[in-house]
Formats: sequence, C-alpha cells, structure tokens
Amino acid sequence: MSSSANEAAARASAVSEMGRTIPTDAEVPHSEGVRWGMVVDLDRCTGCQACVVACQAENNIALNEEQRVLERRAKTWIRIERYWEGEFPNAKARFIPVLCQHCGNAPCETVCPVWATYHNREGLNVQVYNRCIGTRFCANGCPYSVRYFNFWNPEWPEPMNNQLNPDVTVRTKGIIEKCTFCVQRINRAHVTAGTEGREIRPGEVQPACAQSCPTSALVFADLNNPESYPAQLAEAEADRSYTLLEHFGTDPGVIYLKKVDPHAEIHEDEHAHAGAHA
Amino acid sequence: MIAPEAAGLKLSLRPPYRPQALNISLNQAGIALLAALGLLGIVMYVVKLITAWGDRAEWAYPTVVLMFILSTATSAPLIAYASRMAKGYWALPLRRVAALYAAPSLLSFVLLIPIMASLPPLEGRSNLWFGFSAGAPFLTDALALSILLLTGMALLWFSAVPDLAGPPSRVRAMGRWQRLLYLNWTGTARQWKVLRAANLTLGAFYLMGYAFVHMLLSTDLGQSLLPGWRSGIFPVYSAVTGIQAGIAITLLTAALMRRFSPEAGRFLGDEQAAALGKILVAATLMWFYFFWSDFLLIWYARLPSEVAAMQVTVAITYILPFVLTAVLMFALPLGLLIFNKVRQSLSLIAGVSALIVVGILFDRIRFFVAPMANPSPFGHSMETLPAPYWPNALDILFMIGFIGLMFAVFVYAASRIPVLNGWEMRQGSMLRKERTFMKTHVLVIGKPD
Amino acid sequence: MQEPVVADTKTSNRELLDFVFAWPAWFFAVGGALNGLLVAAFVVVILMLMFGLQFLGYSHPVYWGFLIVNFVFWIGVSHAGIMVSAILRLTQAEWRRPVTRAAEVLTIFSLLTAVQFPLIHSGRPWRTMYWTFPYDWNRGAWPNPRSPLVWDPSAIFTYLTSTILFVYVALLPDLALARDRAPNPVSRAIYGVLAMGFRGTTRQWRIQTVAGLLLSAIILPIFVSVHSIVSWDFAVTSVPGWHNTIFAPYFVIGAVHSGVSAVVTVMIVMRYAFGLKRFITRDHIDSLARLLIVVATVWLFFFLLDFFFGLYGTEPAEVDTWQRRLVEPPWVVIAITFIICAYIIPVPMWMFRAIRRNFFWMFVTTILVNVGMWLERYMVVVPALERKSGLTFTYGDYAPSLSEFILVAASFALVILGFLTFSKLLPIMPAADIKEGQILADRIRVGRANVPAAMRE
Repeated sequence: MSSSANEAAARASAVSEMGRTIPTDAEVPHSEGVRWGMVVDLDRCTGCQACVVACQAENNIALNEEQRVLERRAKTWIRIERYWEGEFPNAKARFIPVLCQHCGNAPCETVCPVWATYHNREGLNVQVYNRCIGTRFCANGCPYSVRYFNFWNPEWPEPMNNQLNPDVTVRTKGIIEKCTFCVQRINRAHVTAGTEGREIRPGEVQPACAQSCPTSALVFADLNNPESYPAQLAEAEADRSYTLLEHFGTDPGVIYLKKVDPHAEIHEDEHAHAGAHA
Repeated sequence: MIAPEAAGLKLSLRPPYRPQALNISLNQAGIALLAALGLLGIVMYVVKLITAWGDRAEWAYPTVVLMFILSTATSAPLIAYASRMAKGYWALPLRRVAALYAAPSLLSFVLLIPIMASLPPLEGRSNLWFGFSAGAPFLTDALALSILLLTGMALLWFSAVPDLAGPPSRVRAMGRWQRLLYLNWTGTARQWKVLRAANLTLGAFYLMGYAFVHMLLSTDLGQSLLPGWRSGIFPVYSAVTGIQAGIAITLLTAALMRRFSPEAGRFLGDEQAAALGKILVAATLMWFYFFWSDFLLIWYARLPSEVAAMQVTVAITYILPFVLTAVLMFALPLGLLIFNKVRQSLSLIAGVSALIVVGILFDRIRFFVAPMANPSPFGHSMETLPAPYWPNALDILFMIGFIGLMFAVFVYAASRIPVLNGWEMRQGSMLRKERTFMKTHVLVIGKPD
Repeated sequence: MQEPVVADTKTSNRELLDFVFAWPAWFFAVGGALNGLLVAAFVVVILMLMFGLQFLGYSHPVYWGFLIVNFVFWIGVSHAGIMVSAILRLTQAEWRRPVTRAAEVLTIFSLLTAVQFPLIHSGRPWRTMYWTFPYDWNRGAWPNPRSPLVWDPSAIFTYLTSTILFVYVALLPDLALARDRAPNPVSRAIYGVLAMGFRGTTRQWRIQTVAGLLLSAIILPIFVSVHSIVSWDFAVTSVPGWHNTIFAPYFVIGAVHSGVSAVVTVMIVMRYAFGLKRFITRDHIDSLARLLIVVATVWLFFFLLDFFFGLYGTEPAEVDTWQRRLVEPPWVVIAITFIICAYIIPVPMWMFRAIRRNFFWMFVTTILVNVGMWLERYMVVVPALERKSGLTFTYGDYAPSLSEFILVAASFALVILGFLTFSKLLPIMPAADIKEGQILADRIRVGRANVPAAMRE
C-alpha cells in the first residue's frame, strides 16, 4: 500500500497522538476543524454484513466462534441490528448498522477514571488501550452498547494469524475496545497528505466498513467539510436524517437516513421502538 | 448549660392555674399592623379569586405562598413531635411554640383550592398518578393536605388540653359539649397514658403525612407542569428544606416571643438556641446535599430535556432567585452558624433564621413560578426555555398580605392557647436535677421508657 | 427501660477483656473454616489475573454484576459504625456505649473488604495500581477527576482513615487496660506501645474526649459522602433505571438500614460467643430496633420515590427496566424476596416490644434485612444493564457464575475473620466507655417511680 517509511511515520504520528496533552472539552471544537463522521443510508442497507466482516479483518478482532456468540461475548465493532416490522406474512426486516457513534458529548468519556477514552481534535472518540484498566464503566454508560470487553487474550489458529493487520494493535485481555473509524487509515492519510503538502482530500480516507459496503450505504468523511459527499448527502436528505437515540443528547458523529418504503406505512412509534427516533 | 429558669418553673406553673398568664401580648400598634396585613391578605385573596379564577399563571405567586406556608408553618410542628419521640429534653419549652404553627398552616388549604382548580388535565404530561383517575390530583391532594392539617390541629389541641383544662373541678363543672371539647380532662393516670400514646402516634403520622403531602404537591404543582423536569429527589428536597425553614421560623418566633411576652420569654433562652442551632447547622448542610445530589446528576448525565428544566430553575431563567436562595439558605447561615457564639444566643440565631425564612421564599419562587406560569405543560421535553415570570404589584401585595395573614393567625392562636406547654415542662423539670459530681455541677436527665 | 449495667469495676474489666486473653476451641474451628473459603477465593482471583475475567458471568452488555453488588453491599454495611457511634455520641444516647466499638470495627473490616472488589473486578488490576499510584506526573497523564471512579477511592479511603483514627482514639484507654492486665511481658510491651503512654491523667482524658467528639462531627459528612458517591457510580450515567436523582440519599439510608441491622446481628452473636450477657442487654437491642423502624421506613419511602420517578416520565426504556426488575420471571422472585425480607417481615415485627427484646427474633429479622438489602443492590445494578439501551437488539442477560458465588462468600468470611481477629487481639468491648456510662448513670425519683437517668457532659 505504501512505503515502509510512510508506515513508520504513521506509527510515529500515532505515538504522538497518544503522547500529547489530553485536550479538555473546551479545546475540542466540534463545529470547526475536522470532524470525522459517517452517514448511514438505511434505504440502501441490505443487511449483508460485509461491513462486519471487513471490520473484523481490518481491526484484528478476535474470532467470534459459536460459543462466544452464544454466551454473548462476541465482539463486533459494527453490528447489523435486525428488527422485524409487521406481522407474518407481511413481516419486513429492517436493518440498522450500529457502530461507535463517536459522540461529541460522549457519556463514556466522562466516566473513565484514567482517561483511557477521550475525544481527539478530529472528533474521534479515541480508546487508548494501553491506559485502559477495564473498569467497564464506559461500556455501561454507552447507550448504544458498542463497547466490547476482552474477557481473554485473543488467539488465532495457525494460518489465520498471518492475516493480522500490522497497523492495528492486538488487544490484550481485560480492556475495552470499540470502533475507531479505522484511525490507522486516517493517520496514514495524514502522513501522505503531509508529505505532499496538502490537506486530506474528501473521500481519501475510507474505513473498512464503508469501503466494503456494496451499496454504499455507509459513507465516511469530514462532516465539517461542506464539499464532502456525506455532508452534502446529509444536507440534501435532511428530511430523512436523524441520529440514534437523540434524546440522550450525545451529539453523535454518525447520521442515519431513514428508510423509504413505498409499500408500507412506517409508523413513527414503531420506528422509535427500533431505536430510531425520527 | 443549666437553665436557671428550670427551678422557677415549678413555682410559676403551680395552681391556681392561669393559662392566660403565659399568652403572648402585643401592644396596640403591633395588633393593628398584623390586623392590617391580615386584612390585606384576605382582600387580595378575594381579588385573585374574582379576577383570576382558572388562570394558572395568575396563581403562580399564590402557589409560592402555599409552598412557603407548607415549608414553614406546616413543618414547624415537626420539631415538637420529633423531639417528643426522641425524648429530647432540650426543645421542651419550644414544643408549643412550634406546634402552634399548625393553626396558620390551615391557610394552605384555602390557597390549595383555587390553585388546583387552575391546573390543566393530567393527560399528555408526566405525573405521579399514572392514569389513576378518581379525582386525581384535585381530590387526592386536597384530601391528603386536609388530613395532615387536621392531624396538626388535633395534636395541637390534645397537647394543649392539660394546660387549658385547669383543675378537675373546672372540667367537671362544664357543659356536655364543652367537656367533650376538653376531652373530659381530669388528669387520671389513664388519660395521661392515652395522651402520651396519641401524641406519639399522631406525631409519627404527621411526620409521614408531611413527607407525603410534599411529595404530592411538589410534583403536582411543580415538576409535572414543567416538561423534562424529572427529579426523584425534589420531593425530599422540598420537605427537608421545609424542615430547615421550620426550625428557623420556630427560633425566630421564640426570639420574638422573648421580646414581646416577658412571662413566656423567661423560659425561652439560649439553651434552646444552642440545641436547635446544631440541628439547624445539619439542616443547612442538608440543603446543599440535596441541592447538589439533584444538580450534579442532571448536569453530568446531560440529557437535553432534563438540562433544559434545570436551566429554568437554577441556571438561566430563575438564576436570581437561585443565587439568593443559595446565599440566604446555605452560604450565609452556614458561615454564621459555625460560630458557637451565634449558635448559643437566641437573638443572634434568630437573625440567621430570618435569612433562612426569606431564603425559602425565593427558593419556592424559583421552583414553582416557572411550572405554574408555563404556557405549555404537555409533553416530555421543552422546545424553548420559558421567559421568567416576575410578580406584578398585585402578586407582591398578595404575598405580603397572605404571609402577614399567616402571622396574624399565629398570634391569634397564641392568644387563645398558652404558648408554653406547662404540663410537659413540669414533667421535664421533674426529670431534671442538678447534682454535684466530683468538683463540678452537672445536669442529670431522667429518661423514662 | 434503660437499666444501667450493674457490675463492679473488677468484674467488668475481667469479663470485657476475657476474650482477648482466652483461646476457646471454636475460635480455631471457625477461623479454619473461614480461611478455607478465603483460599478458594484466592485461587479464583489468581485464575482471573492469569486468564482474564472469563470466569465471571458477565457478557455484552451486562458488564457489572455480583462483584459490584457486593462492593455496594459492604460499603453499605460499613455505614453502621459511624451511624451508631458518631451520631449517638453527639446526641448523647446512653445506650450506645457497648455497641460502638463492635460497630466501628465492623465498619473497618467491611470497608477493607469492599475495596477489594472494584480492584479484582477491573480488567487489569495491576494497571489500576500502576496508573493511579503513583500519579503519572511525568507525562501529565492524570486520573480523570470527572469520573466517579476517582471520587470513590477518595471518599472511601478518607472514610477508612478517619474511622481507624476514631476507633484508635476510643481504644486508647482500653489498650492501657489491656497493658495493665496482660499476662506476659511480650503482650504487655505490645499493648504498652499501642496505648501510647495512656495513664488516665485528667489531661489525657480531656484530650481523648475532645478528640472523640471532634472526630464524630467531622466524620459525619464523610459518612454521608461515601455512599452518595457510590450511588453516583450508577446515577451519573444516563442509563435508564440508574439515572435518578434520589439515588444518593436512597443509597445512604439503605446503607444505614443494612448497617444497623448488621450491628444488631453482630451484637447478638457477640453476646453468646464472647460471654457478654451482662453488657449486651435487651435494652440495647430494643433501642437499635426502634432506630431501625424509623430508618427502614424512610428507606422504603425513598425506594418508592425511586420507583415512582422511574415511571414518572413514562419513557419506554425506563419502564422496560422497571418491568424487568419487578415483573419478569427471574427477577420477580428476587423483587418479592427483597421487599419481604427488607421491610414487610421485619418492620411490623419490630413494632412489638416482645420481638424487639427477643434475641432470637432480632437475630432472624436483622439477617433477613441484610439478605433483602443485598438483593436490593442486585436489583438496582443488574436489570438496568440488561435493559439499558433503547436498541432492543442488545438486550442482555446475566447469570452469576460459581466464581462469583465463591468471591461473595469469601467476602463474608473475610469480614468475619477480620472481626474475630480484632476481638482476639484488642478489646472489642469499649471497657472505658462502659465504665464511664456506669459512673454517669443515676436515678431520679418522681413520686413513686424511680426513673433511670444519666448525667450530661
């Protein structure tokens, strides 16, 4: 993908990201500068789970064996929630991809005793694995339940360990992990753009889920950049757009676009029951 | 601390018994002032009834007065009942002073009726009745309040009967109804036993009723009219700060009584101030504790609907009354009460109490005006913050008049019923003796079961 | 009837210090059994450290369970010591005297036990130590002062320190007594050092008394803050079912409820185990039970407020949580057991004087209260997480594992063992305080009645 020098620079950038003074709320402008975010068009989502698999591969997420799923300890940084609407035979499946919403007002950030999770200057909700002590308070505070705990050290059977992504840490037991918006790719883009002396171009960074989405239901960009496609999409489709669990006031960085269903009436409250507050 | 009066008490309360000897006696000017204020209160009440029946915003400031009465006059008797239950010897001479406030707290019922009549229907707004439709909230609240007030009056009367009845021969000579009114009080052992049991159980009932009424009214007249205001602690805050103000108004009254009723004043002194002062410090700290428990959780969790309601009562709309409350009910009293000198002098502590009594008025303003004056009480969250609703001249006159009426009723009651509970104080003085121990004098207090 | 203890100084000294110098057989038997449980718990903890928290019953999204419940429970029990000692000392309640030390020691050991739990419960306990002690000055990486998990240790350790000081100040005269009566030079030397040269001069007594009173007054705000902050671990979040402003006073009064009940249980056990029949009497149990009636009723009121204001907003998530708590199958049993044990059985029983003065029934009811209060914490913590989200897709379940049961059982063993060890090494009965009570006791004649009385300081 890129030269080893670039990779080293990306690492260095990641290190400096971790080492610098933790910004307070006041220092994090959500309205100016970069704010990475995503627009999820539910009208396009088919529930194919390609994003889930891509995320699994990109981010070295431990294998979700059957046993893990049954005991509800499987980790899926992005998950497709499926809700049934209507009664059989007129039942319809509705899909909502749920990932870390990278909230501007994140309930998880305030409760962490060791600053293992904080808001960085680009609107990302960052998890510092090295600082995490595993109180799991953040996972309790998160209304979207997108934070996952490592109950054991992950293991990959023999050939599969070769597919591990060298850019991403393998998380040890006892810590919380969650969607990072593929921060390793963002950092690499920063390095590339930096060496070429320019800003990151819209569409230059793609997290694995957005990249793999066959219907482009997930689109990723700087929401504060009015030229980016997602920002324009959210603007153009303002009547369809909403954020998940709006009444928590978390100011999510993921914007959802309502499903358009010409064949059925979607009742507001049924939608609300599925967690989508229109 | 040994009250020198304790020894004299036995003498002055000996028969022939003159209940009126201990009554409060104001001079002409005082009576005229109170009568004028009381009259103003009645007139303003009638004016409100005629001009503003059913108009909720017009009843916002009367609601403040209602909650003020509930937090001062209605809570003051608690001191009497709680100290009786805890066998506290220190508050003995204050018990009747506190219990007499049951009389002016009757006024709260008069206010409740038109306020309740102006409330919007329950459907569509958060409330504590969960679809219970048998007269809620109008009948239920009125019933709860009237039971509380009647209990207060019964307690006041029961505990005053031994003082009022005089010698057994006097009661025996009464007519049938009058004798019933005086509970046929001849002071038999059985009567004393029943009186004691009634005082304790009714006192406990009053305590629970007080908390319950605060829960109902603070929700029905407050929280449920301001969408998004959902605070489980608020009924407790309302009741506890009410007790703080109740202690304050009792101390204030005791100090005034010492000034205006020399005979009663002999028994009201620094001993009571010192004992009640400690509790006032605790209650003042409680103000902060309950305020903070409320504020912190809403501020921290940042749920937009709750934060908006908090901005109305604390941060933006009614910030002025809030700051006044914080200063008058917490900062100043605490800063002053930590000095032993202030706590142990009835005159000084009365000054601090006056601050608290004024403070609770502002506290009730910040909590009850916004909901009552809120034009859109339906739904679960507010779209925009309501504008502050300040009192007009009529409201101010109403507040002055009605609070004046409250004191006028108190003084009237105090002129009918002795302001010192002679029988209890005599009992207390029997259970209290001085002794020499080693080289000092100590106080010995008997604690009968 | 508050009858004063009747015993001359010599008998008092002998009986109160008896256990310190005696070695009954049951002490070894009980101690051995408790240590066995602790070993089992130790094995579990080692396994957790080596292989992660997979042995616990947690899953997504229920990440807190038995261990946190147990933490809250023991913090709650620890509130007994100060409630009984400080408040009753300040209000000069005479019947407090034999009760205080046991209550304070219960505070210390339940606090020490409680703090173990958040530690072993965290994913990487060694990192917990590493990041918080010492602070990471060099990189400017401070703990997050906004997190309740930082307020928690501050409050708990302040409470622990001040309680230990409080106990020690009250212990000084008794240590001196133990020094004077120690059977051999070694223990005499140890008690002598611990007594810090207390010889009972007027000045020493005055300082000891003033220090005790001051500490009582200072400790009260700390006492209130500790459980408030524990409650804020839950209530500051926006989790439906946790986020309720009543939580702080609700937890504090619940803590007092379970703590004072625990004190009654301990007192009754002590009465028989240590042969203190003369000093722990029906009067003490009676007074504590009356206190408990008031506390329990206030607690019930706060519980109802929590319930009412949970449903008040009629938010679906909040209603779901309460439905889970009170109605749905595994929880309905717990909910009913809890309310019956914590209020419906004990409080009406305590209304009867005969029950209040009966050691057996008081033992049973106070045990019931603590069973109920343990379940109450379980009910507060877990269902809210199971039904946390508005996204019903992530509804979860929680079932405790064997490891968690072992750890919880071991926590009881640890507290009992600590208590036993303390009473073996140091006087568990405040001999000086009791003797002071005997001196201050007096009687007043009123007519034909002879009323017990006490001097006021």
